[in-house]
Amino acid sequence: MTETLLHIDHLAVEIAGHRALHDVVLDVPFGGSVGIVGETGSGKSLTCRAALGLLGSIGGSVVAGEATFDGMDLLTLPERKWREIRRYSIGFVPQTSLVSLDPVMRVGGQMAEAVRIVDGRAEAKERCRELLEAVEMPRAEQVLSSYPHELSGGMRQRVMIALALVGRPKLLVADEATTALDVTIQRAILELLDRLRRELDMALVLVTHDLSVVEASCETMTVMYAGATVERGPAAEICARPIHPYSRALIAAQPSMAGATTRLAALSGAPPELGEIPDGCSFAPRCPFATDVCRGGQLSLTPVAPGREVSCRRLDEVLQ
Amino acid sequence: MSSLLETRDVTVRYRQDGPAAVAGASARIDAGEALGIVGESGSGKSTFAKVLAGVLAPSGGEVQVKGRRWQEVKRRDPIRRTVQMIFQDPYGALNPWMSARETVAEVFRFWERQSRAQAVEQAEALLAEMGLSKGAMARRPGELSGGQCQRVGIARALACSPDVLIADEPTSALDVSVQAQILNILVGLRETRGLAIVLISHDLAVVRYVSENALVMYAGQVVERGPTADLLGSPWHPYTKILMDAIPGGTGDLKPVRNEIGDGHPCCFAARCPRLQADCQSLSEEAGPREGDRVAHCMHPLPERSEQIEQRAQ
Repeated sequence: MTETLLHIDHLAVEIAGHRALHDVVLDVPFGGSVGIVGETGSGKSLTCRAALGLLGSIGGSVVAGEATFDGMDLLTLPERKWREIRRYSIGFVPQTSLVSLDPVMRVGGQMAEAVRIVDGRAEAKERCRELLEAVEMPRAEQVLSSYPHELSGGMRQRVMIALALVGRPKLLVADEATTALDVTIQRAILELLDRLRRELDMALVLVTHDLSVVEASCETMTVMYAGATVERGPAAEICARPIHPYSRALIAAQPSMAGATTRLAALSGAPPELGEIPDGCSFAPRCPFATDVCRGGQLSLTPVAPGREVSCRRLDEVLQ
Repeated sequence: MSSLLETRDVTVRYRQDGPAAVAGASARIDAGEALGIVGESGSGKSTFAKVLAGVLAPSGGEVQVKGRRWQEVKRRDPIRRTVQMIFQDPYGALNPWMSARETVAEVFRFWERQSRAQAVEQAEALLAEMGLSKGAMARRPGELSGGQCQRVGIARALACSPDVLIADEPTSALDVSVQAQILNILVGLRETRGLAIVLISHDLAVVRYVSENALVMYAGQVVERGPTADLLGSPWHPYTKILMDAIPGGTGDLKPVRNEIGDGHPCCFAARCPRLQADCQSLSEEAGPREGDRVAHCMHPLPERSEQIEQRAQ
């Protein structure tokens, strides 16, 4: 257990009385990289919020399960302690990072605000410059005196990453950090995150709906559907040989650079709405393998290979 | 085959003395053809798409739709029905106060002068063809998912009975599973209605799936064009190669840098090009390898290709 930095087990979260997450399992080792993938509404971002103690602001609360960070039980932490964790231990690059900067404040001022709390006033300017250099920002000095609208999307994203690094965190959570970016800029940001992870000995959680991003940048991955982990294991293995019907559907829906002679296998239907998660397997209504045994009862992750777990009642048929 | 849409040396400047967002781009779209346009943000893809759709008048050059100049077409001319657009932001492209059914019915009432009941009937048939349920048809954009909104956007475009559909990043705001549904609709429309499609995307795999021909744009210019499979299979222009290498899991070590436009060099890609040499200064309009429909605007295209061409020429 000591090797695990963030450990989330059977986590369940309710928002306004509706079950939003019901069985999330996630392990992030020290210095490791984990991808979380799934469609919109699968609970990826909510899992991040839970790990950052930010459920209260959206009326959510943890109702079951466990979550530990560096040996600390996250579920019993007082707010004061949470603030400390967000300041020094977990850096967060939010999904809306491109609009997360204050538009009427220069970048330098915004960064200094955060840096002063951690490193004190005297060091602030120097540390801001250092952080921008760490994220390979071109013309760092000029950027510090710029307003956010004067920067490109890729540069703003670098500023957000620099801000997440202020407290020298042990874990960086990047929520759809490259979704709005061009393929070339995306590549540069992913390479940057990977370099920072190795140099700063920091773990990385990459949330995305783009499987190719996870395959290229993460060691392990967790596939989420309707608020639960349905498959987890080494990223390369899952992308090459997905087992859960949902993981398979996600991979089959991606157009390939090799070109296709047939139609893409589009997944029919939509994920269940909040509060309408069916009993048993939530994926059953869309699953080609589903039978009556899938509907009803409690599902859990079953080990299928070393480090690989799948939550499916029809594993024998699926594996054939 | 007759050309449906054709542009010659189109230039667009948003300010008279400003940089050219599109600089001398030419393209031709034939009936039933699918053309992909790829490039990074700021490469002029969307501006070029607006010129093709006739919603933006170019500062220079010519755009023709079925042999008529866009500049001469009036607002209510029925030829405007020929070219329709679908947009990147599926929510933003729809009127938030109108239901899906009303959005599409409005088009029938405007162009066909139909009664309300007739228009609604036709709209429902079209929305059903796009896979929207009866319940969803009564909802406004705010109550629909991104994929459903995009279906409404496509139905609205189809209500005009167009010959060309211009899709500007139609799936970049959508999940991969929903993306597959929308792409399948687009591919299906080509088969069932013989629609030509211009697909703008920065996702090369999406362009590869939908279109048989592609243009690569950089700094407002078309730097390479040709059959998609050839172009992405073995790029000639160094920029196309960089785009290919940037795909997650790609192997390239080319460092992308900022889009630098208009530093006076005859090659628009000079500031970023890893193959830049002294003689690139003499890059002319006609320079670069050509083979059938395939053209790259480059003095030093990727060697394996130029060798192949030389071998074939011999």
